[in-house]
Amino acid sequence: MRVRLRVDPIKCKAHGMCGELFPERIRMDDWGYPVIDSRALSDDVVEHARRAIVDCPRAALWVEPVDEPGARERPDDSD
Amino acid sequence: MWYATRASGYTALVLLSASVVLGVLTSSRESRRDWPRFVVQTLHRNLSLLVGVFLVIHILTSVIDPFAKLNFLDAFVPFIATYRPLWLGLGVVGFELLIAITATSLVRHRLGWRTWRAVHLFAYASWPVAVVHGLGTGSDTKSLWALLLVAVCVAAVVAALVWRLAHLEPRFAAVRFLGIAGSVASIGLLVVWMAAGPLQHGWAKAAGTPANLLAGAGATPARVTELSAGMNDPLIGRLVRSTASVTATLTDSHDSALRLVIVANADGSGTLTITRSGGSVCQVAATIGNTSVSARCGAILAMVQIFDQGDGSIGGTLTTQKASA
Amino acid sequence: MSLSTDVGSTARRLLPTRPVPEDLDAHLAGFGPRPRLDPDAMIDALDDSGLRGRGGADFPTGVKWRAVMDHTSRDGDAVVVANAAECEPASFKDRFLLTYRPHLVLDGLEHAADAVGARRVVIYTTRSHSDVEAALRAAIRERRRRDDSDRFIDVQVGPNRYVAGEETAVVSRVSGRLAKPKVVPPRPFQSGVDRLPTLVQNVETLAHAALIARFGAPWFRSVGTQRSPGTALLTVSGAVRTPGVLEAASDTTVGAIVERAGGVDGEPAMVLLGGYFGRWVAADRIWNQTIDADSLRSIGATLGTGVLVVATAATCGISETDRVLTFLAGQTAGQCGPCHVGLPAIAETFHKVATGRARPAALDLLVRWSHDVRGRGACRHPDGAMLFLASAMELFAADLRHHLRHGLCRYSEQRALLPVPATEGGWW
Repeated sequence: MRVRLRVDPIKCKAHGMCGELFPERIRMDDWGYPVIDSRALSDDVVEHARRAIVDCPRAALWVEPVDEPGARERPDDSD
Repeated sequence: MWYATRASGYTALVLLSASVVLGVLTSSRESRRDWPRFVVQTLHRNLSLLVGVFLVIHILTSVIDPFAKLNFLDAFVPFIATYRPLWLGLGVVGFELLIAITATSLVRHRLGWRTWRAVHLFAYASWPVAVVHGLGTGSDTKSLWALLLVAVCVAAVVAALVWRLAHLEPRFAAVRFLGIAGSVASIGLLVVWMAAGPLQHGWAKAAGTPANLLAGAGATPARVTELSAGMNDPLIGRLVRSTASVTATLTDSHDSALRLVIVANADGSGTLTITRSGGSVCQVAATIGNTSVSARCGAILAMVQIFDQGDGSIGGTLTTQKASA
Repeated sequence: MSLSTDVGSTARRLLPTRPVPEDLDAHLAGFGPRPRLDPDAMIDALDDSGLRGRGGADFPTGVKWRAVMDHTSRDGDAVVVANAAECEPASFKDRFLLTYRPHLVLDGLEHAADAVGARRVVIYTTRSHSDVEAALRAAIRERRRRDDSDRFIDVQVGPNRYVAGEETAVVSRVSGRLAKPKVVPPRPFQSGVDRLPTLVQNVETLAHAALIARFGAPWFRSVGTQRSPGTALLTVSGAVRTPGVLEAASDTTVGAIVERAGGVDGEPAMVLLGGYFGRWVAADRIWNQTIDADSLRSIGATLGTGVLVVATAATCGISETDRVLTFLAGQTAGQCGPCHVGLPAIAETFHKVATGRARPAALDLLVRWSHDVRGRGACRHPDGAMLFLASAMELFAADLRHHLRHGLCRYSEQRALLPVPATEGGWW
């Protein structure tokens, strides 16, 4: 199943951890916020994506299946 | 064993201080080129886990060691211990805060950021709790190295806090001012408390050390002893001769916290002082023989056999038995 | 604001011929009682009619109602919200409709509640539109006295902020929280007010739905184009002699609409169509275009919220854009970095260009930054603002270079054309 990386822009507070851990698909804009390449993740980089997801201080990243936009791979803690 | 408790306690404090410093630094969005944020954050996490390891050692050794007579319940319920209850209790509080923080951090993703963050703020509380616990209960508090160590830890954490507060956004000016003022004030408070409390004579008693563990007030009748009957421990130590007396200082090889000081005066009189971890066990007049010393410590008859090894060091044996009525 | 006196036109459906608020008696005399339609029949009629949302998104209404209906649980728990917020400063059509034909809107709202099986029925308006709120409450009271149904229409009030009318912001406010947009998915039709399937529909769309329920889909399609059937409300303002709210069939040209608004006071140079998320278009390019979606798309424009502002050459497009951009930058919800940090940075840079205090590199910076912020917010606020900016930078390219070099032009000090109101502080 192919997945892509997404960021919740409301939770994200520009800590910048993700850009350091997954520079292949995440670059920082001029204000420190992540610009995420939304293409499907190839198998060799999925582990970096998962590391970025785990290490994000705000838990703002997640992966979703490419075919089902809107399905999250982790429980949604909406506030 | 008590050494292990103190050593692990101070180590845990140093590691906790370092972890708090890193945690404070990582909460700002600053980063240096050669110190990526994820490195600082990973270090913070690993240090925190290490604190946990040393804390467990600290607690285990303090419970196992018979000195303070602590049991496992004292380690989990604050303020019920017989040994310096308030200050020890603070340690328990700190320990439990750290358990909560560690547990929530491990399941951070399931809890949601807000819940995790609320608990993690208690990290800020656990550090001063740990510092005050250490200063209040610590047997080494008055020693220079301990004071220096704690001073460095406090300075590091306060410096990190002040730096972080100084980097707040302008709209948080009130928080910044209060935070920095508060930090400086609390250092002053700490110094004042130290001077009036732990650094004073008689702190051990005021802190709640059980009476039987306190050092004697003078060469008056011995207090209740911690010596048990049936001991047969090898001793090692040194002999010092002066014009008026000879002083033998020995340590029990089986229980290194036990120290004996025998003073033999020229007029034939003598004293035997036995201490454990600096706390007085027995301080009495003793009968000095050629190579042996005997004294009565409460209900225990203590005999010390000494032999000179020639190079200034001496060896010996401590035997004890119940004194006849 | 006046009403166009276009008597006898087939385009008069929503708006009354005389500018008198219609009470329940007048409404029933004119339209008859509200028919009771079975949910599938209602939604089929909407599908057949081709009605699309009039709140700016232009989404097929039947599809939207069916999505909510499908998500409603077995015991029929859903929420319908009529979006009467109208936070677009240059738009007045929704308020007009609610002042003069509130019962048409409320009929549509009740049709929606019937169709999706909603027990909770809400109409959401803006605090600073207090006369509209009063008119609504009066109309609802009338209905309660008359009606035998136990349906209760709740009036909810939100802040006057540009994003407070966004669908998820409406849901948030009606749920008792701040009127700030949320991340989608989930969309309101899946999980909305109190996590129930929610239909948020613009009031003009609901009014059209009420007419479709009475007169049928073929009637609705009898005017307008195939792809954009029916009529639409527009707010015409700017350099026109009688600015106001008009109703026009979708096959009416922009020029004809402006004529009905009294014609241009001078020579038309450019038009802002759609609102502050809309586009600037050269007048000669748009004058003969009809307002249906296909025609507008061919010139890179959309009808949006029906705002049509006409400007002559005596208006400085750069200064107008500058003020609106600054307004939009100040209207973020403060939630998403690229928007609440990026938009003010962009607005400030544009302002420097407009006042001649920037270097030529600032133009490239504007282009790069405006691409950076698109799609990276929870809602479409940054996207809309950047489309507006892009249209300005394209149409006023020569003026932009002039301002870069010389600062304000002689038209910059003219009275402002586009309103940028001060908005209140809170988010409740």
